[in-house]
Amino acid sequence: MALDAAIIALLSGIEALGAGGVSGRRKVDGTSPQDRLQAIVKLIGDTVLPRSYTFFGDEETEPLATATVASGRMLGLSPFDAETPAIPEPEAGTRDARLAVAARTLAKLAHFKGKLTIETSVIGEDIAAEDVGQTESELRGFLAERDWFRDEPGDEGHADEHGGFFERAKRLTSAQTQIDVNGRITDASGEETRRLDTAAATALNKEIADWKSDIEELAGMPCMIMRQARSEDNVVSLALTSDDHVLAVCDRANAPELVALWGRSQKEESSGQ
Amino acid sequence: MPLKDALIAGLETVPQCETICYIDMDSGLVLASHSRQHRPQEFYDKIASLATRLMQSPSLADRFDKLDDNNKIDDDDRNIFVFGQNRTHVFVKAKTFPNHAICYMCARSAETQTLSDAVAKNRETIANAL
Repeated sequence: MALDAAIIALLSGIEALGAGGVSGRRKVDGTSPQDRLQAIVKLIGDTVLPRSYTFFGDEETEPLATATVASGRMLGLSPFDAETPAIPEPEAGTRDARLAVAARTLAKLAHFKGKLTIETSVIGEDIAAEDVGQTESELRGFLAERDWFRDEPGDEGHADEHGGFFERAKRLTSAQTQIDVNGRITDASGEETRRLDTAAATALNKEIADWKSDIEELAGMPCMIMRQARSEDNVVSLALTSDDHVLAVCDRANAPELVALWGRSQKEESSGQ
Repeated sequence: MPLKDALIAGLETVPQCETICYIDMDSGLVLASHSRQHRPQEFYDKIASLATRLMQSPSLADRFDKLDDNNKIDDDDRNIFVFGQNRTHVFVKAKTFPNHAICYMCARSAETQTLSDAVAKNRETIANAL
């Protein structure tokens, strides 16, 4: 019995998937970043049951990022820090902003230098999704609009983001207070009632000094401490570096972006930008 | 289910979790733990001390409370995330005993929302185990 050529192509695809199942990881199709981006976006669209995709770079054991996908939608994506094409930031917290962050992170993954592999794991059916996430067509539309499927990314990084973390976090936070390691307030932004006064800044600084070395040892410096609860609208965060501390209040919807921004700004600091 | 099994379940369900500690913040001791790799006692002592400082320090909590005007009396389901260069730690108060805390040490790449959902579930499992 002669098999249809289309079926043979399909079967060879299945075999490749099976091989991935044994090793737990499989390579992302395509060699160019654009092809890989296509493959990742397609994977999201093809995923019906809840899955967690962990991306790994060349020979690395530490994962690059993790995406939570279900019903053809990307419901969550961990921050990933590497060079990325520049895109204008829409207003924070909106659906467009979340789409921009998600699309940008996928593009960054696709542009990873070296081999890129994906490990698939099954997650429970009842993943609580407060946000509807991003569909394949939304992601595809966003990326195509910016020619990310065709062009090489520019080297300008986040051209839209200027200054340090404090400056760039202004649009995401309702208030911020920056204090130096001596407890002096060096900068503040946003609503006055949600900033620290001089006495509070001194006291907080003293407290941080008590446990900063413990955090450094356990989590690595610089780091960000964030307190949040499902039932609360506001999130308080404290970003610690060797030079200063930034205490910020933001809306819960903006918290993931704030963490991502923090990750990016630290990466830039360490690479001397 | 014994506490140990609840901790093992957490290691399985919380994404990229490497170590879970169940901490008594009053004494500053890790009462139970489960880890994918061996950790020295000093590691557990540090985790316990950090949990106490981050979750029980009245001045830190007060300062945070003053700023966020969430007006919350019951701070039960609050998570404290520590996003470091190498690891993400999640601290949460135990449901049954408010002076106990659970710490999840995960890889930096774990996604925050998924992490928070999985931690909330395991916190229930631990509460049922006790």
